[in-house]
Amino acid sequence: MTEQTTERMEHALARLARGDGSAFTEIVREHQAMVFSMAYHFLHDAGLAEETAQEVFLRLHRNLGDIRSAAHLRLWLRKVTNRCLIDTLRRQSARPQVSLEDVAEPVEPTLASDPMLSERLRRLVASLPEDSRAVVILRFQEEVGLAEIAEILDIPINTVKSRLQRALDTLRGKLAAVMEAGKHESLG
Amino acid sequence: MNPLDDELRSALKRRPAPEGFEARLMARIAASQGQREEHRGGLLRWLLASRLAWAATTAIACLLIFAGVYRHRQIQRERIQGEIAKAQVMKALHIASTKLNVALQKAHAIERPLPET
Repeated sequence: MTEQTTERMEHALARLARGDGSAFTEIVREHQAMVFSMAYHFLHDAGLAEETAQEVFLRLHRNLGDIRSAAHLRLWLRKVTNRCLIDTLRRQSARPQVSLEDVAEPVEPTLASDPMLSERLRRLVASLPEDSRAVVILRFQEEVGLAEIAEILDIPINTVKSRLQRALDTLRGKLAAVMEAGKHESLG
Repeated sequence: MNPLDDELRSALKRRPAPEGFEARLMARIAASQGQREEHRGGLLRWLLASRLAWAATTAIACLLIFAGVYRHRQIQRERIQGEIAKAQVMKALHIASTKLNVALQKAHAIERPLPET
């Protein structure tokens, strides 16, 4: 968050405290991409992601009195988003799911940055165990430091490091397998 | 920098919320506020109704207590009056008995022959 944005959010929070309801819209506008993207990358389902993001902002609206600063607001939103995502997953676990392992991977011969690879990576991230998934999203989407991830997820920093390492190893392994399959397909 | 890290950063870039997200959110907030107010109204009606019920119950209880106290005092008063009447009767009997004794003694004295001189 830039200094200017922080200042704007501090101003919006002060206006909210004075009873100016329009300041809430400004807060939503500023943070909706962050919350929605976290939800989307976690769930890989736009509809569910929007539902979860709306739930997060509804909770924010009910708890505006607890927010102390712009930095606290961002931390609060990330924490609550993570909790809401876990709740959504719990609700979803009752419904039949198709594992990503069962979905046929399209042939992808190169590892150059392209939309197909990005989409595959997003799908692979969404297939990670939920605890590692949250770490990867906070680290690579939000560029959050390890200490802050530990605070958001309420876990020790060493656990964050090990989960991140494990997640990256898994992603590297899965990507390599996909690349290998792609090479065979193109040779054959 | 690890190429996978860069790919992840690129793949997990923030994306804008869907069109109309803000409007739908505000509508949900308005609806939830309406529900809360309705709930609060229901609670107020219930409180008011229960307040009236409480007032009526309290009034009846006060009336019963007042009647009980009044009756208790009336019984006490009757008991005291009875005690007084009993004491008066006892006193009258005592006086009558004393007088009767004196009269009997006098009657005996008359009946007894006078010693000869």
